[in-house]
Amino acid sequence: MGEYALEMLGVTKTFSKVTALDNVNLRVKKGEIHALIGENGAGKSTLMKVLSGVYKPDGGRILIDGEEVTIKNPKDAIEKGVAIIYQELSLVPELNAIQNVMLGQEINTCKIINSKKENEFARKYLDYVGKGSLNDYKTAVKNLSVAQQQMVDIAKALSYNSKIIIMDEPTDSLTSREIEILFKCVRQLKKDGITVIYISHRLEELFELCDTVTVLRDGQYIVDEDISKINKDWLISKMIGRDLKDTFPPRRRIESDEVVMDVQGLTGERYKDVSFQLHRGEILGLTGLVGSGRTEVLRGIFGADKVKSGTVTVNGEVVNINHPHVAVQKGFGFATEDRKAQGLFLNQSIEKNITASALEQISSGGFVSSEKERKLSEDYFKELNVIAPDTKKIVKFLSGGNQQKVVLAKWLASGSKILFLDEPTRGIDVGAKYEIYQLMDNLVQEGVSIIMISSEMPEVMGVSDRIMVMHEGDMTGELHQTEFSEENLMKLSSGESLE
Amino acid sequence: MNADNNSKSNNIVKRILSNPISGPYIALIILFIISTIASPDIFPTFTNIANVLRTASIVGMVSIGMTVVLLVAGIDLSVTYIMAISACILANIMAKQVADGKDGIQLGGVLLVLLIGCVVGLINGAIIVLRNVEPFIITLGTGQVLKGIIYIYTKGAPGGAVTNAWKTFGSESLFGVIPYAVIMWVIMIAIFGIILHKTVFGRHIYAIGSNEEAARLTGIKTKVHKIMAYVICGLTAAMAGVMLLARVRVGEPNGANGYDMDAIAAVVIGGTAMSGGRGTLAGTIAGVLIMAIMNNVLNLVGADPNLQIVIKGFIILLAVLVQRKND
Repeated sequence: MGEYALEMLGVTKTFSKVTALDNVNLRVKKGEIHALIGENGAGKSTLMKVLSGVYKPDGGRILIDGEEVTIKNPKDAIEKGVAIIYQELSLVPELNAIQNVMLGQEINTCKIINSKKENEFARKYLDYVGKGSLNDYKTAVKNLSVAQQQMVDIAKALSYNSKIIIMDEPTDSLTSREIEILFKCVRQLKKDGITVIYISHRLEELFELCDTVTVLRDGQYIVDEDISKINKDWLISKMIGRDLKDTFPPRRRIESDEVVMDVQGLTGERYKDVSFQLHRGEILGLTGLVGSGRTEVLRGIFGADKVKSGTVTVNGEVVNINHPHVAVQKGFGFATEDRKAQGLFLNQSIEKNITASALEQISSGGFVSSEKERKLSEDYFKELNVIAPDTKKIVKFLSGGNQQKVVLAKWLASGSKILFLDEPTRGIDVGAKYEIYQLMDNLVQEGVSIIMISSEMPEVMGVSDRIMVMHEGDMTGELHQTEFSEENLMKLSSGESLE
Repeated sequence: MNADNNSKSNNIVKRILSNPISGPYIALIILFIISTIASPDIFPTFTNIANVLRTASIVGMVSIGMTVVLLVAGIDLSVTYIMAISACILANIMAKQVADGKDGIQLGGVLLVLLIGCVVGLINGAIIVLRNVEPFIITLGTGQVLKGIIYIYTKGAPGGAVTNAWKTFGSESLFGVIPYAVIMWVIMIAIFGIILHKTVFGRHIYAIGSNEEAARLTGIKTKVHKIMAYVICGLTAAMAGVMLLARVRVGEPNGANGYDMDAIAAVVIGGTAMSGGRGTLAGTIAGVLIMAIMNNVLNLVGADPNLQIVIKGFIILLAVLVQRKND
């Protein structure tokens, strides 16, 4: 028995002409938490898909416990003890925790499910994973929080006797409290000898949780190192292949008293009596825990959900926005948190995505001018530095960062003056994040006003001119530049007031 | 130099193959060649091809609206009965006119049945969109209601008559070359091709089918557009009903049976995804022609009519499976 639980040596994978993985090595020691990082498109996901049997590698060897293996398909991977927990959880929403764990391995007599034995079997793993934070095994998992759903997914992986668990961006949609719970669970796994491969964009987490890190860049293996021996700047420089001075670009602040949007007493399903003003050229941060109602407020203003009461005034004119169509005409744009489900037409080209809400400008008499369409989309394609061969490329095939740029391009092309950005850098690598911050700064210089929702405190403080905090549907406070601190944000987020 | 040429021609071949529209057309060409070999004396003759096209134009007309509905991730199972009711009503109107010694295209009657088609589509769309229910079951339901109404209205028996103008339309050809029905189909294909690909409306249809929530948040009026898709489907179904009437010259309550499934099959064979957002009318044309040629050649070689149904089923399965593989 060697010291490595998993070795992937010289793994190469090409898709038609694109080399996704070029001679990549990954060595994971037994029982460690191994971070796998790299920018989007660096090859992390492809490498993990090779490991979990989704893709066949063109070359290279995979050794599990020192023994060379061929992983034919995802089922084969599970049988060899490799389980992957995807960003998009693979649970059946209508089934409960126990049924989800047992899915595909139902205990039955003559095909009739023996629920008593299933309960016993599944509880063993659910209790182990969810200790104290996951109690209700009988409710449909769609009613559980994302963190709880993850636990069910982990329990499911363990129930297959997995020795290696891959977690792909597990904390992306978790609140900080939920992250703590997840970390506890991961550390417990480690204690019990399970090897974890941990993929994340949040570098702070790696230092808190992981033992070793492997860096990939452009489909190539760059380095692996003990976490204790390195720091964040070193990691970033390895990821992007150059030194990155600051995480946030310098902000050129605009002092303006001109109110572009005034919200008074807005009340909806999940928030009540929310009032605030947005100034011209301002980046207003909006934060709070997941479930605090921050996204719902913006959706309400935008006309995506029904509002019970309250008024919205745009440039001095009271508006009644009952459909996003009206919002777009009034100059609003909304880059939603879930890009794939709510922002993009994934199977359409970059061009058609960019022009989707600007068709009025480039058409006459209802007929779209393909010349104007080409020009408009190419202008923003270039301005936002979308990395793709051309604007005809289907959006599905772009990385997260580039997809987000396409979403932003769509709103810029439609001439939005008030932009709502909900978690604009979620799932995006460091380099692209910087570009998006820079773009936001450029936009406010041009008179656009932005409300940015973010769960990441450094981001909210690094980018915003002013921060509003929500807690369980209430606006709990507003912080000006001089008051920005993690402590203040935490207090307001948990419903306390500042003295 | 030689190698260079090779790679260049490889590229062209690749580009043709990677275009989603190529599959149905390659299948169409192969089917045409096979049919010519199977029935060298009759199939490739001018009269026969004209007949194939004449028959195809009726399913083809239904398939236009069906393509639009499938593009917004819907389906319309009521088209058969829209066809039947418009044919029967128009036949009765024309019977009176013919009895009065009038002849001609009877524009008023035709417009009336087209309006009926649109209204049925409007009802379908409105229920589906405003109540947010499955199009499959709603159009199945409205279809059954229509079917009952047709039987009550016609007492289940064929009836009515057709004016000479429509008799000519149904069986003659322009300059003796292109059947009138085919001309009408081609015109409608052209109109809706332009609507789908060159207008804001068309863009919105594709956007809605591709991701309805994203479309809504982009400021597209998704509900209105989806209802319009069903109205278009009702309109083309009613037009197909008129064409069918012109062809069989009598209002036949059961005459349109099977057109719903034929149209859906043709659209899907032509590369339109039932999940919405993907597909073209160009593909639908190929799908319609494939179905029509197959029917024709199986008849020509004297295949057992029951066996024909089996073969048709297999072709649909094959076409869909090949497309899934390319996804």
